[in-house]
Amino acid sequence: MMIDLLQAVISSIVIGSLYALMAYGLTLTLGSIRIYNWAYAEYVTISAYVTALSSSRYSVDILLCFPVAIFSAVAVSLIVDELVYKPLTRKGSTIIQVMLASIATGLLIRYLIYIFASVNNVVIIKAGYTSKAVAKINELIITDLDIFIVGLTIFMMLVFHFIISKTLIGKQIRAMWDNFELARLSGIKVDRVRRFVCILVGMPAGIIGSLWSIYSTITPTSGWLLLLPAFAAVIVGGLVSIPGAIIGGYLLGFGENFFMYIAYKFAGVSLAYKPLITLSIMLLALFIRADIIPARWLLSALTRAATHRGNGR
Amino acid sequence: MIPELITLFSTSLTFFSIYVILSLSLNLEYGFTGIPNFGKVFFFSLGAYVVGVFVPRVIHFVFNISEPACSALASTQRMSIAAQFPILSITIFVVSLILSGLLGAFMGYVISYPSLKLRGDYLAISLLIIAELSRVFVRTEPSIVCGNNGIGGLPNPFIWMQDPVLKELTYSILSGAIAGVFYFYIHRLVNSPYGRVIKSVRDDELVSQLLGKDVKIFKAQILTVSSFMSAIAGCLYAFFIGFVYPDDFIIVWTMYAWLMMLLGGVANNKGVILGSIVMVVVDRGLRRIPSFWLSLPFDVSYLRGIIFTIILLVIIMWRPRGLLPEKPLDTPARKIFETHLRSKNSLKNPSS
Amino acid sequence: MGGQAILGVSNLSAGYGKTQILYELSMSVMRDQLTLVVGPNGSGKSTLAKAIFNLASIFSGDVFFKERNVTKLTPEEKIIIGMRMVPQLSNVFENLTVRENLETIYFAIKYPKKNFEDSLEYVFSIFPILRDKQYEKVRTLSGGERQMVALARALVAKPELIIFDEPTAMLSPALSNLILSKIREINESGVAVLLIEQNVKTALRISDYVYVLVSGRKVLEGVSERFINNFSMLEDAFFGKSPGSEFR
Repeated sequence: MMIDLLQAVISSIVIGSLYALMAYGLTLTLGSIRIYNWAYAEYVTISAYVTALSSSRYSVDILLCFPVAIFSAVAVSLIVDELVYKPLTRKGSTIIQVMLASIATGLLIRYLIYIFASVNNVVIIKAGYTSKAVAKINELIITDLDIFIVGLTIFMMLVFHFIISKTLIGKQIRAMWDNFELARLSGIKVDRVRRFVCILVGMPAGIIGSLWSIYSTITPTSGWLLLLPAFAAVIVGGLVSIPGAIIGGYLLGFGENFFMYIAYKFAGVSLAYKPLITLSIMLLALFIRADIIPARWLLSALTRAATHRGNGR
Repeated sequence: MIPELITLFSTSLTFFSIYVILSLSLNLEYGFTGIPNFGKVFFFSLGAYVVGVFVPRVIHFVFNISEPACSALASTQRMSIAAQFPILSITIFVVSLILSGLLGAFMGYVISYPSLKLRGDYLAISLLIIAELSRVFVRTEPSIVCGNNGIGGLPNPFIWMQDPVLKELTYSILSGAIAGVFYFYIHRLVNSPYGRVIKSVRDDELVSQLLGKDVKIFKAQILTVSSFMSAIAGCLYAFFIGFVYPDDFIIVWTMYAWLMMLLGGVANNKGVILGSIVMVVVDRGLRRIPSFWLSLPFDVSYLRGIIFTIILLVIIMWRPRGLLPEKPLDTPARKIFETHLRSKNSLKNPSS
Repeated sequence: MGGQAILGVSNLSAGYGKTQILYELSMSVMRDQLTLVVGPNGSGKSTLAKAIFNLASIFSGDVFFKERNVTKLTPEEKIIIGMRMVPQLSNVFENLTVRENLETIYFAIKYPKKNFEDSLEYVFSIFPILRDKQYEKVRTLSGGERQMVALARALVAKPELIIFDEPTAMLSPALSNLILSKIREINESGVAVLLIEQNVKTALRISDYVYVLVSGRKVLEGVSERFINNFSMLEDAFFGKSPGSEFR
């Protein structure tokens, strides 16, 4: 039983890493370009299909699939921004209009993927790579895929952090995030920075999609099913905080795996209730943020871990 | 030929009514009160799930059916029983309608609490996620509507009629009547002093509060009413289709509602009617494309989806407030102002 | 009064969206001069600054910088050719450090890294207090220090013209005087200044030429000296008592 618990911890960390990286990309897009990118799910799905198809149908070496998938995700990211998001920003559209447009764009791409998949008979597919166990401790299995996922996602987050805090373009991104008008008045070429952000967030989408195609089977809605908890993580982070989004990602990863397992084993809760756990965590974060549950009351029950920047209220 | 035309009419009228109720409710929430409901399908599905949960259980209980509710056999049994007992089918229908409405209203009321304190985008995202995740939950948990397979054998209240064409026609007229009632109710509501208040809440919440209006109560009321309506629409839908399955209630319904509202014009109820007509025509029309016209190697529903998302994108990019403008408030002060303006203009004309 | 105009505004009509605020305004800023624009609230002073930078809707008219027509250039392009603006509100990046605030604007214009240090030195010579605080996030600074950062940002990479939009708004009288004297210092180091101010009396003392704007139109202009001793003339113009009179 202990083994099962530890196994649940492993999956929590793995899934949490994926959610955290995805939430990072979403928060970055939201902060610097002010776009809720619901189409991000489809960048992931496209990469997943690229990797899965290349490695299984065309027997391309799995590691070579990654750059191709990343390239596809980045390309789609740039195209969607140029065609949909940038014109809307220029027109000064409201947040709600942007959200509608991004959901619609996501759906549009997803229908195209459905058409492609059903025509080529690949509605359900998996990458042609089976993960191998790398460590075995008494029946606790850690696969090479687990290590690769956690390693790669954390590496990407560190790279992002470096780019954003130390490089010039990172400072420009932060400047745009802080005050868009002033950034323009400072001579920052906002269009160029915007394109850079699209490329920057396209890359993790490509990586997540490729990793997911190895980890599990892919359908056209795979990206969307990953996006929902990722957005929930963004909400936990308060929409503006990258550390918050990362913590949210891991929180949800643990919620869906570790806590689900505990509820299943000790309270007989059916595994179907997994989405409700995700929902509860998200709603809890929302209620705290909206002051419906006073945070102080909650904090006195939890240890004081720095989740927010400053005190938020 | 004639029966087919009548069936086409019935189906169109039923869907039109359902669409009208849905988009009227969204218009009330967002167009008039400024609450962005991206989880509309959630409230819609509540009504349908009530039917899927309540109706089979009642019939099984009353008639002591031993088959598991989810089986096809049980479905057939339910339908034949209902056909023999008109009073039963009608009663079940009415009770379901009431239950759906109550559940919807309750959920709307519950949702109003967080929606007061959260910014628009928080609310929008959360409602969307609530809608999607509850769908995932219902599709995996078999005890609600038989999981992914869904549940059938939900008898139309007029199933006892000999002629199926007449059955559908009567049902469509009933749906149309319900939609009509809602339309008139909303029309009276938004053109009353109450309507002015909610518009002021939409336009500037802070000012409304400063003027002494308790924004909380208004938003709660609006959400309760609109969710009531959405659930009723879902109930009507479930009885019409006779079948409830979770994967039906995807975000596309929410997008349809928004599209209809935008097509017709935000905060314009007549526009909502227009939007719903366009939607029914395009949607039903696209379903009728014979597969030999375009030999598609894939499901035509994908093509339909693409067309709709493109229409939605086009509208957002070029006509975000909708095709018809919002009608100005009809108040006594305005009438006086307009008369004054008209007389002023007629004086100006003679001068050079 | 020698020198040519570094900035010329000719028959400018501008506003926001469909609302017109400025009506056929003409004015100029001479090289090396500190030109002041004053007027009551809502007279369009801020709109003038924004319109010069193409951040408002321009209905007609032109803006010239160093005899080149720059009306349609984007703000980014204007910065590169030597124009700067310090807006009234939200004029610093709160979540960036002082140094990063300066970096972002400097490197948008020039690239040689070594010259950045020279620019920094120039800035710190005018605002020594910022030297110690350069690695702190701006949101931790006091109101006066923030305003200094805002001004400092306009100083990097050799500006030729700086427009200050009500730099002393929300500052105490002591700080206002300090800021205005710094602006004078900047002007004396060779940068043309267009100063938009509410604080007429003090601003008049540091300026060379003044324009009075009322309801989007120029109603009075002249050499500042004349008005320092004849303040009532300005006041009358504010309240519309002598529209259109000009003194040279």
